[in-house]
Amino acid sequence: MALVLKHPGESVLAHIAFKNGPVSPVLLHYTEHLAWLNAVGGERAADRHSNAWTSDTAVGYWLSGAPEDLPELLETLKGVFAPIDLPPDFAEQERDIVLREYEYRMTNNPDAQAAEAMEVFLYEGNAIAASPVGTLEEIMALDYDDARAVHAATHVPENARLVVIGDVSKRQLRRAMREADWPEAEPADVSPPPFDLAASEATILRNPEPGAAPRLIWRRVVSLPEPVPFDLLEAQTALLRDILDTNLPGGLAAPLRFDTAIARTFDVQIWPIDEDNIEISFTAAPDTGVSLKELQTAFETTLSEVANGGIPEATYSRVLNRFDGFWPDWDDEDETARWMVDYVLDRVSNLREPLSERKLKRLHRGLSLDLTHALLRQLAGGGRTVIAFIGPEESFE
Amino acid sequence: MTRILFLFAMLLALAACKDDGPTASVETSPGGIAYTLLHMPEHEDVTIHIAWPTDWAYRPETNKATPVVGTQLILAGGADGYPAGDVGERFADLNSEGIIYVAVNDHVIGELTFERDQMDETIAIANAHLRAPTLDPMWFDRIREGTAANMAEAQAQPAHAGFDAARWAVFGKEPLRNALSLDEPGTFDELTREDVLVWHSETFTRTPQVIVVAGGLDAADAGAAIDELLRGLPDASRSVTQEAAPDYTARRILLHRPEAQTTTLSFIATLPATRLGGETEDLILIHALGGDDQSVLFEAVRTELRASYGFGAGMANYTRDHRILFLSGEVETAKLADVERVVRDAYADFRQSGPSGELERRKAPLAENFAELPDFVVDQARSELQSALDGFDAGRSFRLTDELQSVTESTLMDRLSSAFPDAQDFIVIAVSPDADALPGACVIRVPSEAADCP
Repeated sequence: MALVLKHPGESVLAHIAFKNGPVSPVLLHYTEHLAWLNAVGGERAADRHSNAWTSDTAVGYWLSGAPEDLPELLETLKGVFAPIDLPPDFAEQERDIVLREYEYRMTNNPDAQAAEAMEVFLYEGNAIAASPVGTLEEIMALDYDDARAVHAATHVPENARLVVIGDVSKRQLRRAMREADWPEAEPADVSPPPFDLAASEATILRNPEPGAAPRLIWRRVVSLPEPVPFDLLEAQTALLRDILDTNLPGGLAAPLRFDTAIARTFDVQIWPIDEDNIEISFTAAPDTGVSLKELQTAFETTLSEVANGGIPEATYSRVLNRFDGFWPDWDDEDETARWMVDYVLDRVSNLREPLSERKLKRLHRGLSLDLTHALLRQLAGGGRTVIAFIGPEESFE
Repeated sequence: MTRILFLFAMLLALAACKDDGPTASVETSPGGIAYTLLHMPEHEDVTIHIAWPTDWAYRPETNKATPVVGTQLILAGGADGYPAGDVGERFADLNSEGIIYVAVNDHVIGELTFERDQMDETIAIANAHLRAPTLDPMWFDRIREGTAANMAEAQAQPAHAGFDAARWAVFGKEPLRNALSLDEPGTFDELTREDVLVWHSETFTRTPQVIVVAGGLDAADAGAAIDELLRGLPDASRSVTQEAAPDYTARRILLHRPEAQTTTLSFIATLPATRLGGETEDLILIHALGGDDQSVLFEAVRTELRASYGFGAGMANYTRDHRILFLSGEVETAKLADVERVVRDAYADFRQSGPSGELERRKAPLAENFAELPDFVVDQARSELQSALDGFDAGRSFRLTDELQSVTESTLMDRLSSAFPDAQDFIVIAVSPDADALPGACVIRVPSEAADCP
């Protein structure tokens, strides 16, 4: 399955993503390292940039170069389908590189450690609860033969989605795929794994870090009474986030930061997990003399009050007027092309079907104060909630 | 994003047949203030960048945390006629943006970006914040305490501690060292609002060193905007003296952190200041040395030695005149000594042989980046401001593609031999839980002991 995205520029990028399948994402991460080394990792021309990634839903590889080299780029990238055939010693050593990556991402990083633990609880029972980063024990148990088997099961043409971005036509892409003998197959159902929210409950994770600046991370997932199309839900949650971030009536900044000295700084984010579930994350540093518990209580109280009081029409209109930056200036071809690249890569990497530009342009019509209120009430009403306290233990209570 | 407005190809076509393409000129405002105008008529956005010189970091009597707290306080704490908290919302309504930051200790830089139609109100708000910031005591305490807590957390990180140790080795007890590290006891505790008041009054004058205006504004409007933006600010009350005497003598140092869970290794040596030229060559060379998975250092340390997730190279400035090349990465503790040897050998080979492969392919990403620059007024102005601070002629930021084209294999090799340090000239600093991991190194327990390492 291939998609071409026209984009002006002097290079072309070929990006392929595979659905994870029911395997350990830690093992898939190791497999990704090996498959990339097997296919792309050797010596390349200086303008051929490449990398690979593993998320909790997919694994991907990309390679860029000159547009006229597209057939060669595809020929190289096609190697990720081929059976992994690396010297066993080298493949075993790559496990140590995965270990170094773990250290790079997790060691001395209390926020990353907290995020891993929070997601195990928040997403319990779902595929996305498992992280590709894993634990030291999981990494030490990685096995080359297991990785080869996982590769054979997952890196198959029917699981793959190819995106080519650059000054390339569909016809040029088809010709390049033919020249590269690109393996094509009837696409399987490549969509994100289903998400079923576990029981509504709350937990607090206390992470004593004597040298860390105290901070609270508060996350909640809620189910919606009715599904909302993903792209609209993404825009609507972003708009609600922008409202909560303000110092206007209906925002969190006045009660937590400007009218009182509770949160020295805070950041709020809201996003959809799928069409039926959304998540909110609130991260804040307490003002002097405010414990993390008091900060948590103040935030929960404020969120509840804002939901009960509703977002004033004036605030909604004012923030909506600023919201056109969420999408590109559709009259600006260059800006739109850049935005579409990020959008399409995000969707493909997350196994979602990108909307057409025509449909995206109409999306703003679906935004409404009613939907804003409905989402806010849902978020404030309870759901699966996890709270992390990070910092010196005396800052917790 | 409204800061991106037109196709570069279209711009070139227009420039070829008319006089309404982008131009650069040196202008003087009606109030007598000199500035560079990048007239980019296709843009509806305008950005004004101002660099005020400062020697606060170089002077022994100043509190070194003042600029980092002061720049935040000016923006957050309100101003005459604009209560804290309200102005952020008004700026968001206007789609205007303003930031102030300290650039490598030599300048405080302010950037104000807005739609042409919103210029008057945006400039009025910005002028109030420059001229009469409230510097609210509650916000002062809040920002001081928050910044202190964040710095303390960062300083506990092994990699951060390694660079702190490097600064002790290079600058010893010079005041500049604490301005870079902010780690002397009392730096934040002893900071007062009075320090910020003094710093504010001596820094924000109507006689900055460089001003760049970029976007869809002609000289008449740009000059009036600058005069209004700097209205009521004093003339400079003192001359600025920026002198430091870094010592880059090669040393091998290991900071022993028994509790550390990882080992980091850094090599540091001096590079010539950007005002002396050669910057485009440096970008190409350092990317080839340690910029991605095909780089010399990645190949040597990860692919061959299998000792790191990634080992790279970069450039940084202690000040505008004192620039460094660094090679750095997290490595397997047991292989630390091997990594030191491998990195030194790989660097020596690179300095001798230069980058492999076709030069044109190495230039391609930079060419694309430079070609896109006029699409972004803020980035164009930043590039122009830095060039102006280095003393280059106005409009250099429009000529970067020409500079790139003039780079040859020969100029790269010349740059390597004349400007890049010899492989033996690096200060090597490791931070490790194993005190014996780097045989022969000067082993220290805290960063400050690096100043005494031979």
